[in-house]
Amino acid sequence: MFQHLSFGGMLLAAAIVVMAAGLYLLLPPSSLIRRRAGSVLVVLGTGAYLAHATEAAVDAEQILFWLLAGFTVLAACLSMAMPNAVYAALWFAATLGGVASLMFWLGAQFLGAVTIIIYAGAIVVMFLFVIMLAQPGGRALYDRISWSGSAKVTAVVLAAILPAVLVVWPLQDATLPAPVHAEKPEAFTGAVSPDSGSYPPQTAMLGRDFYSRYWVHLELAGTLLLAALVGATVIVLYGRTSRTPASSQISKRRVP
Amino acid sequence: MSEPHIIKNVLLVAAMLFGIGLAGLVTRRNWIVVFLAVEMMLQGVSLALVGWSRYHAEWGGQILVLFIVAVAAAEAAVALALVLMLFQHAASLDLVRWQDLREEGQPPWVDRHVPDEYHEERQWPHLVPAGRQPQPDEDELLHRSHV
Repeated sequence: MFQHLSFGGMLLAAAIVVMAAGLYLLLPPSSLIRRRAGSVLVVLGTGAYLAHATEAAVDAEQILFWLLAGFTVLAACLSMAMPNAVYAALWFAATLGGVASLMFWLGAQFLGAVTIIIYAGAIVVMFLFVIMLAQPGGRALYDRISWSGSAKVTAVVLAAILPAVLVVWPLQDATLPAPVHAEKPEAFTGAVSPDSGSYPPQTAMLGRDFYSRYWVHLELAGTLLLAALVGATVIVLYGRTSRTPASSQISKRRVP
Repeated sequence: MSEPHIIKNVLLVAAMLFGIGLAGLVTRRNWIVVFLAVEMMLQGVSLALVGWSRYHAEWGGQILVLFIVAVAAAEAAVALALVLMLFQHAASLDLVRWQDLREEGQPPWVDRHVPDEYHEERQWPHLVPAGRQPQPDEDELLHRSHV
């Protein structure tokens, strides 16, 4: 039955199945045992996926990428799996660390630093503040359960099949498009320049483009941030004065 | 590693992050965790953009990631303010509390079997005791000068 399947096809099927099983075990309702088993399966599925994009000769750069990618995906899964919202936010911060390290690996130093400073430093702290205000107990009933089983199965299969559909199958036979700029300056790879013997001024080159070619977009982003600040303040100030008894419209059924 | 392999590796991880965020968005019931899932999907997109920026040797991708960060910060501020408002109305972060917004004709969602809290989740982390018990001051106990 499987004779017509190549090794790559079987590896892809194994990646999808293992990833889906791991996510199914991780997402709520889960227990500690299920989360541990699901973590192992998710890491195995990540490895099976990344095997599709591996060269014959494995170098240290590739091994470092495997470690960083495995940590990032595992932290992301645990962030979605934890039954305590505080742990979910903390694992999300760990995911951001992983993503930032992958950006450093790619040579995007400024964006890696921005991801840590703004995301993990500001946005996750804001999430933690809201958890403190709204769910100070930490544990809650609705964190331990999910919707119906069919919704969970659909979501898990969708998540597991997405890398295959978006990346592996389109790039299997087709060649990638030619790069826009054929020669690549060291600022894009983060490598030490052989001419000067020092690291390239990556942030300076990014900033030069940012403040010249994209200055209108920069102004728009600043305006958007100001509008969001005002909007959040207005929501908090005037949202509570509305006398609509929202609680009376909600069904009075109490979850046992 | 050659550049085509680098971009394939990065795109795979980006798609996995996006998919995990999608699964969390569909399955979780906590408002805050749902917003975390949306941020996770944004992280996947950011990683893919940085990878393409390196592949094409073009700064546009990285600058778009900067805008994603700015828009995500704005979105998180407004969304969390809204979540606090919703919490004040419903006294819960459960999405089921707002199921009156569902489509007409759909049956209401009722939780059938709610799992008990697992034993390991009731336990707090075990802290190693440090230091020593302070000796009570006899005079202070008798006179209670600070009360």
